[in-house]
Amino acid sequence: MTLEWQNACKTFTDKKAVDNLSLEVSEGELLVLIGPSGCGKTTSLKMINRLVQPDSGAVFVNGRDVSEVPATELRRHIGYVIQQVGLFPHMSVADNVAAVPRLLKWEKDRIDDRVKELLNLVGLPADEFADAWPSRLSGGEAQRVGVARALAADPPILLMDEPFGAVDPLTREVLQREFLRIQSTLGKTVVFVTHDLDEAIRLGDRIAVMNEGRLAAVAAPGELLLNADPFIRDFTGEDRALRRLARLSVGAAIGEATPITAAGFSGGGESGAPAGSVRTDATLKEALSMMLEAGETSLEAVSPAGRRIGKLTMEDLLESAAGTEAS
Amino acid sequence: MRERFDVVPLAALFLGAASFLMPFAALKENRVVDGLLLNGFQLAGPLYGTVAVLTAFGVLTGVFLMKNGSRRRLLYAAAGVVCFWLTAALLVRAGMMLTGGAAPRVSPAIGFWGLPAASYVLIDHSKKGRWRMWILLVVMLLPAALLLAGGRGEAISVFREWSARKGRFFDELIVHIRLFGMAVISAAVLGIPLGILASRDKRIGEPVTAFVDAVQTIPSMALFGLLMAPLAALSRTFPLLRAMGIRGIGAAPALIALTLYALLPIVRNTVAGLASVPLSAIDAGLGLGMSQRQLFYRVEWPMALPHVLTGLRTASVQAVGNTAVAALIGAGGLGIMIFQGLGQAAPDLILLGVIPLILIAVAVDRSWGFMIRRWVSPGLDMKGLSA
Amino acid sequence: MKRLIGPVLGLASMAVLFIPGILDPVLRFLFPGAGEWVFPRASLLSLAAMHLLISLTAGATAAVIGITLGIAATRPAGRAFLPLIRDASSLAQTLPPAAVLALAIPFLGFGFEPVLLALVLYSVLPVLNNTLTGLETLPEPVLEAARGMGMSRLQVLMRVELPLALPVIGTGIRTSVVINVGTATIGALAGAGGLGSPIVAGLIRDNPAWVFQGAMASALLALMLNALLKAAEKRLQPANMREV
Ligand SMILES: Nc1ncnc2c1ncn2[C@@H]1O[C@H](COP(=O)(O)OP(=O)(O)O)[C@@H](O)[C@H]1O
Ligand SMILES: [Mg+2]
Repeated sequence: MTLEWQNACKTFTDKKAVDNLSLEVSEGELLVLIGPSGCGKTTSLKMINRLVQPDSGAVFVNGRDVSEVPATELRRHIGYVIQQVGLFPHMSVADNVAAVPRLLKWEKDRIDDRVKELLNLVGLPADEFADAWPSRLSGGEAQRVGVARALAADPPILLMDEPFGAVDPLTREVLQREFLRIQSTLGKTVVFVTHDLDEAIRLGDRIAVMNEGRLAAVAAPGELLLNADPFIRDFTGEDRALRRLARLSVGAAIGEATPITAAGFSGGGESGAPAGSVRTDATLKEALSMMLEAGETSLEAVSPAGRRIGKLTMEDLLESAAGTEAS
Repeated sequence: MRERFDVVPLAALFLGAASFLMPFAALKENRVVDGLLLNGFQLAGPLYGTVAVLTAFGVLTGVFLMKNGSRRRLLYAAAGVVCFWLTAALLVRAGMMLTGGAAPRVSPAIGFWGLPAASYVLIDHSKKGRWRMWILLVVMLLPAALLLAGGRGEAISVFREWSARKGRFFDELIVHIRLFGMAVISAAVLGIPLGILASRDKRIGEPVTAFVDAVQTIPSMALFGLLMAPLAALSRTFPLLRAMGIRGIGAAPALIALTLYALLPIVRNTVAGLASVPLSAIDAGLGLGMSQRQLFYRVEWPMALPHVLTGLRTASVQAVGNTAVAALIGAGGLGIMIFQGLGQAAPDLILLGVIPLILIAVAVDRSWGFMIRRWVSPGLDMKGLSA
Repeated sequence: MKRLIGPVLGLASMAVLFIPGILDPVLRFLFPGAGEWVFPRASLLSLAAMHLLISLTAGATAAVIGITLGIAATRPAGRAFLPLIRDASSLAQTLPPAAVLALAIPFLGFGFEPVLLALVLYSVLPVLNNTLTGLETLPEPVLEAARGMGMSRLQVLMRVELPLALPVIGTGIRTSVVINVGTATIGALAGAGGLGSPIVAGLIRDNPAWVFQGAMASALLALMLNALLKAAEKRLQPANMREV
């Protein structure tokens, strides 16, 4: 499923919330919408499932103008996750997840199976959580239920509005990693709103930066961090070079393409590698940190299996930080 | 921190002691004379006196020697039941002490209320589990009921009054229940949709709330009176209405006034309940693809329900009491006995009206509590709503 | 302009009700068949004064009892009584005031006292409930900060807890006073006078004009007290908590 905003505008009583937004999202892509608070991210997102009607311009889902699709029909096939989660407190966790399948009048057995499958998918054992009440859940658990509820009817599109904004940083990182895992198997078309740059870089295939209702830039994370536009420079911060290094693997820097492993998110660098060496699946940010720590300008690069691959030098790092996207 | 004594049962002890130290009952030769006042110890005799002292020791043991736990709570509950039995026993013994007169009787005096109050405190304090409360209630009431049904209580003043007008009593009881029941049902049928409408549309909401607020400031007694004149005029003008039994006095103005009165808590709570639904739940519901109707039935209504039911509860309990006042405009009900009793300075007759009134009020209150627990999703927070 | 409508209407209604020279023709017009119009036994003004006295005394008593109980039940030493106090006061609210009044008359005789008892029993709950709510829902960090800067328990209560809970408690007092003004009409049944007198007399003698003046006067009293107390509540609120 593809998505597209075409010159979409929305004004709330003399405040321009979204100003002439044009943007496309391709099938299976995870697009992150980012920008300062109040820049129109939520409004843009809600145009897709028609919770907001654009004043002018249009939004297309799979080439079809959404204003021609009945709103309820449209929404039942678009997953929707919000920051406040919005779980229904009077329904059990299972009933919350079953909300959309019930609207779609699925059979009971099918709903039960689906609820179990989804709860397990989001890491909440169904036996333990199906009958729980939302008020008893922790923030992270509630948000997992929110994701499960959005995925219930297997919608091809997922809209997520700061879904992990209200949980603590550690939980947020766990949720992000799990979400990436789920997304890698489901391959939904996702629009993900956040104001957290690290989250955007970690999750996004592309990042669209908004400012005061306008689209300021849209690019892959690595390119965005090289963008010279003053607003983008400012927005991506003083340490954007470090952020860039955090996206690249040691292997890539020495010409041996290696994906960053899931563990690489949280310091896989130390694991198993002998002193003075770094694993190829660690990030360059971690490698830099190890160099500074050891007072060295070069490290041995070893494969996850421990085989020596080559040498990672400070020059490699400088080149990668300045250079073009390698991954 | 130093462990504190469980002080609440000590309060019960004081209340119970009041029954024994203050006048418990008056022995009278007839309805109006001042009788001979006797306190609990004078009435108890050796057997019941011993029971009372043992109960007090039991409570003290629980407070000072036992660890907090189910055993101790059981002890308190047992002591509470015994206190209640003692109340009945003392009344019956007072009846046996009557010597003569035209219509000899036992009237409760100020100290009478000590033991039931102690019983309430102890049982309330031992509270655990719903079904246990029911068992407790049966254990508590059964011996007293058997005693009274066996004729041992006929000297108790209220029963004297009751046996003098059994038929009338039940008629008025039924009139009372019917009147308040119909008023609450009409108020619910009117008030809930009004509340929903009021929360949908400000233009309806503001005048509706202003109206029900204004009605509430008019004293219930006055509202009855105010409706008499217009209804009498209507009934004079339209013979059809008169044929339907609508007149200036009687059930029609009472029903209208009671309904108007019950509207406020219902409308207000319906509005408050719907307003309490968080925006995020509505956003989520719409986002998942619910229609307005589905959103209302699946999300908004169930979440407003605790408020709405609490409104119905308040309205019903108030209506029970207000219906008593309706007797003043000839609507009948238990108020008849209360006002007759006040007029004849006959406290026993007042009690005959008041006791069932209070029992109905408490029963109605508890029934709503039961239904609220049944109907409201346990996932919802009932805090902030009166218990 | 809009702010003046309430007071002006109130004053106008007061003039109509309490100046017999105006009230008489109004009643004659509204109830042509009544036979007698202005309640003859006492002036409406003196009845209203009595009414106010009863309901304010009851309101003040209920406020003192409710606040004291509420504070006591939220102190460490009194916490054991909290469930009992909650249960008992909601039971008291269940008892119809007319029933309590009728019950109290045999003990306390006719007059002021049984009415006071009935009103107080009935109106303690709003004050107590609001006091408990106000004191129980204070943000824990605020209390912690107060204790942390070395305030004694009494100082925490007087300088932090009560001032913060005051708006909620004030609302409870207002509710209870307004309830009292309406309920105090039953005082007439116990011979305590007040605005219930013309109502009861009118009901017995089938004179709607008497009922009307009693009803209107007590409704007016309730509305005005409500407005006054609402204004007072606004003043009670610390400046930074006013209408955010
Ligand atoms: N329903 C609304 N009514 C009025 N103004 C709104 C409404 N929704 C959003 N706005 C305004 O539009 C702007 C953009 O809002 P939003 O899209 O929620 O921003 P973001 O999600 O990026 O923080 C904000 O200034 C906000 O105050
Ligand atoms: Mg937003």
